[in-house]
Amino acid sequence: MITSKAAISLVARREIRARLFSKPFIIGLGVTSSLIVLAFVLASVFGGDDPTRLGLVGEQPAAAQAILEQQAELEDRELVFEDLASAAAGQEAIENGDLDAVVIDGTTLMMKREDVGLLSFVSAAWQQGQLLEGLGDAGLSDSDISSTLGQAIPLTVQELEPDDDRETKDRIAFVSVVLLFLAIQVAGAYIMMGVLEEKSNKVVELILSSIKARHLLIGKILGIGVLGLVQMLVLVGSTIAAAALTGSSVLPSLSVSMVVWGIVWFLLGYLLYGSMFAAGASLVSRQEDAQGALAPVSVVIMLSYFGSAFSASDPDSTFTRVLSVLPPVAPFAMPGRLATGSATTFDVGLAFVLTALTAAVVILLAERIYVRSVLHTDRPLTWREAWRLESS
Amino acid sequence: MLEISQLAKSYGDIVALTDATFTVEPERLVGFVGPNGAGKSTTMRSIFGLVAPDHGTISWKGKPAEHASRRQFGYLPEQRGLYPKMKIGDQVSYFAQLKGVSPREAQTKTSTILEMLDLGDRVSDPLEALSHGNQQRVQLAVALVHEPELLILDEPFNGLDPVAVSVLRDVLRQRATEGAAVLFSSHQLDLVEQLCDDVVVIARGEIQATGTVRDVRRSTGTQLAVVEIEHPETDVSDAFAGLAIIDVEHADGRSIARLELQSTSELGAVVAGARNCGQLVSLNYQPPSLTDIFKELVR
Repeated sequence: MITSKAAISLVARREIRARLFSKPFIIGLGVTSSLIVLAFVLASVFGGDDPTRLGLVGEQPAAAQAILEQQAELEDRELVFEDLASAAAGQEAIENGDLDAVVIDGTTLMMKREDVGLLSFVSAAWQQGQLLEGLGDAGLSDSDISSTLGQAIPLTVQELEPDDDRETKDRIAFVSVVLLFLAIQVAGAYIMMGVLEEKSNKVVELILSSIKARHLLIGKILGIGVLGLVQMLVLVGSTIAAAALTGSSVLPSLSVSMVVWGIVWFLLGYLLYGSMFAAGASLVSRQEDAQGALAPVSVVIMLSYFGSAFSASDPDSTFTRVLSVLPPVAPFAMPGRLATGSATTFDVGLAFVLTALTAAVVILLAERIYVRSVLHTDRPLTWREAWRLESS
Repeated sequence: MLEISQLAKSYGDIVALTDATFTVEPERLVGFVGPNGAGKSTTMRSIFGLVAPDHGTISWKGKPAEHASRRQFGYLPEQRGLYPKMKIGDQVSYFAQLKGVSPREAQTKTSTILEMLDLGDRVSDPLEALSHGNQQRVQLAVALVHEPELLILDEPFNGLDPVAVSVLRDVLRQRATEGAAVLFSSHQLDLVEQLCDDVVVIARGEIQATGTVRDVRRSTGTQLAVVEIEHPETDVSDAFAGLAIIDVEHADGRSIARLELQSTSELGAVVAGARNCGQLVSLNYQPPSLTDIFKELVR
């Protein structure tokens, strides 16, 4: 007799063989990884800090320009100066986007809209320049001035919650939400296609004359799960490669434990959503009916994804904490929160237990629906009808 | 031996089977005939657990048929279907392995059966690259590959060209000779009559007749005699008074009467009547064909 284990492993291996080297899988993976690389490249080209371009019209305090350059170096900010003939030329350059601001006669700072950061950056240097000029005019020697000013020590900052790379962490959280969504959504779509394919070409009747429906379902979920892992690893790999390639600030913050957690949450999310996709697809026999049958699953997955993406930027709020612990959301949100260190051990533990339990329950419910509806090929069933069907 | 006993199944208000009881014995080729919707496919699907009967039992070798015993069954479903993109060699071998055949053995058996069905050179082709007829052959290969002891084939001759029909006939005959019990449904009654040892006639969810083809053909009371008389001297109708005359034709000084006999014992009366009437030229008497029986039983 063919054992349950043998049946499941045969089905799983067929799923892997049939898809791993298939064009759609390879092309899909290629396109997704290229998109990731492209996103990083675009971010490094356009997202990098633009140099601050400052136009100068008329007389300026003598030292202002040098002071600003020093300041820019301290802040790791690129600075470009341009001398202009008139205020009108400056205005035109600003409107064209060629310049960020123009200092007129050392007294007026012209910019498109008031930019407080830029204002304080420029005006501090100009004030200091004017101060130096004033002190010089008052008869102080240059050495007196520099020794006096040298004693003015800027305030040191004491951060209560030091967070040097807040922005980077937010970016990692967001990227991980997108990656997990992609990976789970694509693997779910594969399950849907796998179930639908066997129903639409009627081969399921022949398979179930040899093995149990439950074993077909388990084998399929396991086999496609392996493909999903391969896909996940390729996506993570291309993310790391793209980050390395573009010298992104994301790279140094990545760690092995993040990748491991990402995989753990992928698997949980895959089991949760994959079994829903399988149950939904078993209700119908035709591609065109699938969208309708899977609408409830799509709504849950999309809401969870948008919720996670939305809250990734505000990791410490109660809303985010609660949302990210909910089982349908946790697989998308938790890896990001783990990566940024915003999740407490309690949050992670709770989310893990809740999600694992929910996944187990959903798998059992999905199995019931799948086993009852997979042999019904005459017309689409509703979830309710499938639930009430007698088992064959 | 496959024993089906009092099998009943309804889908809501639609009754598919009411009381199906028959057996399929080893070394026997059994034809399963009946009009569309009579319950043939429901019966066959029940054997594989694809339909849960409301009532009745299916047993194999004296034990209820269940997943373990179905390993010895081969199935050609009414709804044909395989994986379109899978190579046919891999495909046949896969289904053999689902029946519990080891991978190595599955490979050998796959080559053998594909060779037998003239598909030996297509092993590496995906199913979808094959013609419809050849896809049917692959479907048959899947049913046969693990050398099942019980073969259940739903309309196996449908869609086959004459060459394939003859190949399949030989294969089924051979499998039965080797000891398999074979049950197949068909609407080609002449083929069933020639090929089968036994026949099961089903209509309206009920078994109408079972037994050897010969027994079933003789099972109805009425049998046909065609009598040809030269130069009849009396009215042919009077000569056969007391017998059921279907019709009488006259042509070229001959009369041809068709009579419906209730039993073989009436043959004597037919001969006597004919002699009294004129010169008896020919008497053609045989049990009705399966087609005749079928028409009568399913009426």
